Amino acid sequence: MFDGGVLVAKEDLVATVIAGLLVVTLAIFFQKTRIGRALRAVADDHQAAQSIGIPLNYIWVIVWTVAGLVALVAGVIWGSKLGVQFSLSLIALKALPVLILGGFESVLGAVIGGLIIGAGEKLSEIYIGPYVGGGIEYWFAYMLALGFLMFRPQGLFGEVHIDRV
Amino acid sequence: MFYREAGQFKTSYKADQAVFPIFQDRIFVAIWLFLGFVVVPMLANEYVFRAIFIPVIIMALAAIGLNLLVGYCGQVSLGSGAFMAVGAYAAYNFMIRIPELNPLICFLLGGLSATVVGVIFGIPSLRIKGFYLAVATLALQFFTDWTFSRIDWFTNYTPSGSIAVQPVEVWGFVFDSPIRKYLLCLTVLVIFTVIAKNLVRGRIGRAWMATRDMDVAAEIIGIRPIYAKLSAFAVSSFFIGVAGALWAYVHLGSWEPLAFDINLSFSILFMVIIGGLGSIVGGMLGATFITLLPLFLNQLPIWLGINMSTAMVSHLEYMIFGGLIIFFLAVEPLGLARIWQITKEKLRLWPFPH
Repeated sequence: MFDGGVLVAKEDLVATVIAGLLVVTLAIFFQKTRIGRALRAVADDHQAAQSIGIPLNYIWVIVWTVAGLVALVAGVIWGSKLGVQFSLSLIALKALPVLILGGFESVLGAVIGGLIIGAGEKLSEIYIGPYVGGGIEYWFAYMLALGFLMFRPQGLFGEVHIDRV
Repeated sequence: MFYREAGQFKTSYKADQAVFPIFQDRIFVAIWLFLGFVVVPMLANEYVFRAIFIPVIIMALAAIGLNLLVGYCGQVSLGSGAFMAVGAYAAYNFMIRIPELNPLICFLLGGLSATVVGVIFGIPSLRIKGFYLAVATLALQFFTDWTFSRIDWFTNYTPSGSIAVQPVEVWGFVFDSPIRKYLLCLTVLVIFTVIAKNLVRGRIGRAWMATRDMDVAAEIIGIRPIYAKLSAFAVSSFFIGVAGALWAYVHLGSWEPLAFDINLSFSILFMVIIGGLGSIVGGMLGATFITLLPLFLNQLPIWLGINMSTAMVSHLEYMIFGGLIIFFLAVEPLGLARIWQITKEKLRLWPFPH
């Protein structure tokens, strides 16, 4: 059926490889290393983490550095493919529904959430869009995340939080 | 010495529950009202009304509304631009479809439409909170942007999608000059401020604050979270919706859907945070600060006599604006309202050391 095969641009391949490598590295970093465990401890409970001797200031520096680095890689890939402009900052807002759909505290959740949101908004634009006037990919990701949260507030792979008084 | 409550005894329950229990505060508020209603209209010129007073007043109304939700009930919302859009478009549609309706009623109906939308999009707050809720309200923001630009019925099938309106006319009195618009906005702001202040002092405001401080504990002492959270969403979006109708009709005059985009939501949230969460006066201070600072930064090179290109000025404006916001929050995390409170504490002793 597909005699000519599927066309894949070289940049896409490179981007996929980079993203995959980054995901694996981050997953190992968060799950296995000493610093990664400290980060998760701080995220869970600041005071408890501090009381067992985790230096909070040091952790903040690392957290922001890692976040900045990952965002930098994403920005460079996106920019090299679709051009650099100021509205890139609004694209970054789309990371939020991905994050809450996949659930906090989970690298795998971010990957699967990203796939669901990315594929969902393009497919909805093609299959549902024509019936309502088009352009629905503008808000589809957020609505998907919103509807999903109603049924599973912690996201796909997030940890369930139990409130205590 | 001058600002001291010594000797002012409360001898009745009424005096005990007054909004301004201290005599000097009452004088101070009276002076502000006098300045606002009498002195400013006599002194200010057209540009000052249009560029400074009217936007600041309408934004103050929106910021007070959002403060009821974020500051008092603790539900973070990034959808205030959407509520303003709903208020504006609903008022527009009521006005063109029922022409005999009084425009002020249309503004209130615009607010009520925003209330309905607010309650619907407040329902997720019963399941999720904090950061998750902020993202959920983003959905509303993007959805309204899309609705008002794609569904032509809302814009009455204007070809360009933008709307131009006539000046507001109430019983033959036309609010066309800046001074009349200013007085209209100021009156609305004063009325809504009184309502907001009394709401947060009463039973419902206490329910909001209990929910904000710890929702599980509030539920245990008998506050129903569904009423507390949804009423906060309802009241807040009513305020913001009315502000949106005023913004469109009185300030803009003609607008397109992008006038109510995500940037507006962010700037109202910044007003609330910089002004001070959980403070009515904070909303006003924050709105003044965020609206006037860019104007001031824009004019600064001209006053200083520095020759710069407009692009350079506007980029510098962004950078300095962002930097100042971070600086203010680092110095005083509780916002301008807290600075005002500290000033009042210091004034009690001034000019004596003890």
